[in-house]
Amino acid sequence: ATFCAVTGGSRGLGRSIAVQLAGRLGEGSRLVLTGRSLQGLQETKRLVEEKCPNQLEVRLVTGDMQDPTAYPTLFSEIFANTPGNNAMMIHNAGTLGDLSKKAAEHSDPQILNKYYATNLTSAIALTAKFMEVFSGTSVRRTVVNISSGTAIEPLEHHSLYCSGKAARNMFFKVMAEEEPDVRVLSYSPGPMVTDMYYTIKSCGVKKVEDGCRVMESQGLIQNPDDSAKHLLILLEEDKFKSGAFLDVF
Amino acid sequence: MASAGLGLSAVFGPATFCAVTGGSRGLGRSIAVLLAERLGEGSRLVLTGRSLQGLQETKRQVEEKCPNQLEVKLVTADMGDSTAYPALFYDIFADTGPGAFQNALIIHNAASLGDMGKKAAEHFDPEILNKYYATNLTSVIALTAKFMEVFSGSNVRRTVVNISSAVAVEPLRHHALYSSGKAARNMFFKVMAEEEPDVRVLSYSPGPMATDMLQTVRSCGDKKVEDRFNAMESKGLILSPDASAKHMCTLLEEDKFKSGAFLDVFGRFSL
Repeated sequence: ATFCAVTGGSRGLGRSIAVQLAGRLGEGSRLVLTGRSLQGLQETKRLVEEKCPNQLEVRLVTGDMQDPTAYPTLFSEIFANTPGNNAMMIHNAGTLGDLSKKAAEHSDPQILNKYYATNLTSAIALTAKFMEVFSGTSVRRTVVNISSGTAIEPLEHHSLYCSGKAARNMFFKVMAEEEPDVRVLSYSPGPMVTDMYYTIKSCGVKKVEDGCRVMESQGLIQNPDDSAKHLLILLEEDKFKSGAFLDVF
Repeated sequence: MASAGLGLSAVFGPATFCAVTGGSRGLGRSIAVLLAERLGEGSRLVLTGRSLQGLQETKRQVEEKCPNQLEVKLVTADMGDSTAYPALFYDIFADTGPGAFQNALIIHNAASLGDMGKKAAEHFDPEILNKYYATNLTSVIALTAKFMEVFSGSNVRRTVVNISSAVAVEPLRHHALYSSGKAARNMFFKVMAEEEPDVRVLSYSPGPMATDMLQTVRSCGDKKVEDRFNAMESKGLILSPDASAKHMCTLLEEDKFKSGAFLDVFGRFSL
């Protein structure tokens, strides 16, 4: 009986993680998927149910991580009537920010605040709710931070994305120090064939676009299913040091 | 003014504009007073902070050191309030027309710790979180953008300093917000350094210093944190902010650092 929430479950890696989990979560488990697109969430649910028709309860919650006033409703829907002796929170939802801007061109504080609200604050507040709902030692808790290689390797025109991921990594390292009973993992999924990748590939920065082409020619752009699979193996093997930042490669 | 070497006049020489945020006490004050004797003729020092009284005391100490040479401008501001940025930035960069300055520096020193009583998993209020990152992250980014816009063009030598912390890379209990904010800033400025080869970008970890901030940290209620700083104190590792400010200025003057580097006052890391 595992509770598992995955944010950004309407497409890309989030969808892959959901489908991979479908085959692994035991009887009486529940999978909660959040995202902005109900249609996308429904398609993910369809794929999940195709894989395991009876076993898994799938719950869809439409919401936008950008809007903090909506968090109370959103969070209570995510965690309503939670079952189980295992609980997992996978922070997958993420946005790139305006890739046409260099670091020194991000002049609008409203846009900046919105970016960090979506990519940093929402993950922190949602984690706090998760920890509150599943407090007590009888539930085995896992928190996964979907991160990126760019959390440690600067990439041109990605100042917001890099800084947000770096912040999340450190936040979860501190959490891992403080919460010895919680398994905390920051996971870099690697470049994958998703909408996010295509946005990066067309960002207008030659260095970045060339880098994408090189990776493609070397066969390094994965199917998100493969990256999701690798993540679940890491979680199942359970050998990682809590707070670690691990890469798919 | 006397020049100690090629680096000195290049960084701090005549006609230098220098803005220091959080100049009302602590490290910001030490930086301001140290710069006072280094900035050349026709220079301007702009100090921001929430406390006008604190800023005025810093100004007094600066003028004590060099009574005539330096124009000191004080701008009272709260970096947590994004709606106030336009007016704030206007004040900071007023009268900086083209040709006014040969060098321009901005030192992002202002910072807050966030609620030290909370563990990472206890930060549940998004309003408080958003305010924290607005103060410590957004303000710095927006202010840098303004700085770069005001001093655009290749004939002004530009330097951006990000006052960071060892906790940007070493997790410390009860410092989830502070650590994450500093980690974000470090990465942001690394990307900026990649993109702006003409700008000198430095992230500086000043080490533990005898300031109000350290007092707050030491009374956070977490025994492990308190023990750690007690141990540092007994080993004489708590610096005066003046000493740390001096080390930072030396790094800037020597000008050997790789742009975007993250350097520590004790040289414990260079990332």
